[in-house]
Amino acid sequence: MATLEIKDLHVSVEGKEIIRGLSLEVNKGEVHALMGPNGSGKSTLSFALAGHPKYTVTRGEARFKGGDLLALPPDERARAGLFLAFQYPAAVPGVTVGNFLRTAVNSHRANGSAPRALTGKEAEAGKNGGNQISAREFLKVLKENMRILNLQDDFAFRYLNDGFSGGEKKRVEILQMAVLKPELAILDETDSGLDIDAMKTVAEGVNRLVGPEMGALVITHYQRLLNYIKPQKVHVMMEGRIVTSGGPELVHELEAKGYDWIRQKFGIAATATAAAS
Amino acid sequence: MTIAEMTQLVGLNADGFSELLARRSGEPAWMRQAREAAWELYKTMPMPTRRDEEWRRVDLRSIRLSEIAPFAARSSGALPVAVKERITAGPASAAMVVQHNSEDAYIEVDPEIRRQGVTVCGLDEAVRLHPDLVRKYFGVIRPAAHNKFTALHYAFQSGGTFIRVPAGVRVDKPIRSMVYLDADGAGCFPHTLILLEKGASLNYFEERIGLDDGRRQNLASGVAEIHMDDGAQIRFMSLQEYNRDTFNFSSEKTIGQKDARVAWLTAELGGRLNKGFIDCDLTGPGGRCELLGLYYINGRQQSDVVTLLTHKAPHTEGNILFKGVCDDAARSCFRGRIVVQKEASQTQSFLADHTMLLSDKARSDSVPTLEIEANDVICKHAATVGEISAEELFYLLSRGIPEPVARKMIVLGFFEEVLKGVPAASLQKLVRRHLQAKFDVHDHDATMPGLSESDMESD
Repeated sequence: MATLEIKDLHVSVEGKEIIRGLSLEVNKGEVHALMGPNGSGKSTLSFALAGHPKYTVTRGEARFKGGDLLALPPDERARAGLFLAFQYPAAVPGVTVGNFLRTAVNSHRANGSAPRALTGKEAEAGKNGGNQISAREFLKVLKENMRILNLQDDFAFRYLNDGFSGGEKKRVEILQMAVLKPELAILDETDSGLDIDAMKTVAEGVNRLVGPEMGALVITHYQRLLNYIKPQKVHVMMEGRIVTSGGPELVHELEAKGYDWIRQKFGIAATATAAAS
Repeated sequence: MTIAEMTQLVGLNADGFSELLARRSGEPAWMRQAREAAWELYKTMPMPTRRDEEWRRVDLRSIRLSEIAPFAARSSGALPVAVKERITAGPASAAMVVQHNSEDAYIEVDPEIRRQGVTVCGLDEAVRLHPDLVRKYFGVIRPAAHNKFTALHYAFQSGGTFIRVPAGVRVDKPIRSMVYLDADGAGCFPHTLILLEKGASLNYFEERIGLDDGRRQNLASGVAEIHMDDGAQIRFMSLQEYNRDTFNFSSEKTIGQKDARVAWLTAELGGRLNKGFIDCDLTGPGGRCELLGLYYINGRQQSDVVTLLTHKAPHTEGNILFKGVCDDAARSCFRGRIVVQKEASQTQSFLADHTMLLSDKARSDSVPTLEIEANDVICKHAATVGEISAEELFYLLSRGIPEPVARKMIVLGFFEEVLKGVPAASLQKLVRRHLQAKFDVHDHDATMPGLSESDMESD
């Protein structure tokens, strides 16, 4: 039983089919790279797996640790151990990084029960759930991880992604991953908009976590992130499905030849429009 | 028959007015005359209707004035436990003035500010102890004629707070004014009169609280008048939590002279209906006014606030920011108005209001107005009405936060921009806690009359 097992997945957005029969297995301890040109459906896959309501699964299945992932609402998927690092994380004004992340940690600990006890006075007192993380303990964990990611302490008290630079947003995504400790992380274009130093920091943050406790699906359309996060398996996605898979050598082949040779090899037209007609 | 029972027999009508005058027979003649003039005015002023622009969004038809007592005695000799708890829960204060129903109940003043010449007392006591000052300033900047309910206020006024800070004196710890209304079917007419001399500085925090098990209508009509001399500063913070049967009218006005600084924050959580007028005139150069407000209403609550910031002198600065959340079938209206008079060149003033609707039945209107008669002025406004952002919600859910908690975080987060403006950290916490409490109570409140189950899903 793979940690994440996707079989013949079809996903539509507003009536338009984007994912057309995708199958993939990722295990803890593994790093898979999912590469492909713009518009091939990579981000759609990540949103569908995270449970975004705009993305409708029309066929196929996705199992997480043996259970039906698609039957769960998004918050339960997260608590089951799935994490999506967003390409464009939403800004939530008025909600601090610290408060948000502590609520998330406590939600995981309470496993979704008695949500009212997760904030306010009872949670402050640690009365409910018994295993709620105290503010002090949480802040210690948070600061430790912020230091590793080169984030200033004041990020704990800044509003979530509100006015953050592109690089800060990505580092805060990795921060959340480090604190929430998922079993499987999907990193959606985490390298986009990062300079080389920021990318190294982010990659180190990811590498630190990948291991027996966590697997990762790294989505990117450039190879450069994969110089720092080494995948065991590389998948190339086009037209909503995986057209070929291979080892790390595939990354270099793509780097040298671009995507066109794959199109030619598998008989895929140059644009989606052409393929649709 | 006890006094409390007797007062229930008369309403806000001619009999009630006679009753009040009899009760107040010890008052100076000028005060009695002011009441009589206000009562005459009240009788001649028509009840506002939805045809009156400023009253278009509030429904006054269900008020039963003849069933509301003009005066309610304290229900017991001791301070109610709830009041004691509120005193302790709030910030440490330089003075505390508590009114229980229509009567002064408790006062405590730090001897240090007394030594500095600061005067703090109930308004009724000020009429006795400082008649010249009260007579000079009472009803001057917010006269009875402002609207029908201000006229009613001046006819029936009882209670309120009087504060005078002498030139150059700073009162940093807040002076607190609390009105606690646990009478059922009662009127409440507190008057706040604040005099700040040259360079004086005051932190003021008022709470208006109603016991939440009323059966009959209450009516509150409060007036605040704040006179600020050159260089005076005030941080004014108001938290309104009357019960769900209270029609709450308020009318507040500040006049700030040269270099006066006004930092205002009003938080409305309670009341069946809130109709508020908040005005500030900046009459001298260098004056500055920051006017913040927030409200969170649900069920069938209505809120309609009119703010008017008038720049009468050059080099003045203003900022109005209101944020509101309406759930269930609640309705709100915000009328922000900034006037920059001809003399007020090189003035900056901003007006913004943002409302979040949590249900299909909730409604909100924004009516911003800028009137600019001067040149060389920066004046802008912005208004939005929206719902909880689907992307923000999904983001929180994707981190494992259950939906009700995620919604609550977003809604409470929406208020933070305003809460940040609360002068003291302890007050900020207090208001935040009360917002949270209202949200949490609502989570469990499935007994809203006239609302279907589906209306309640949005919490």
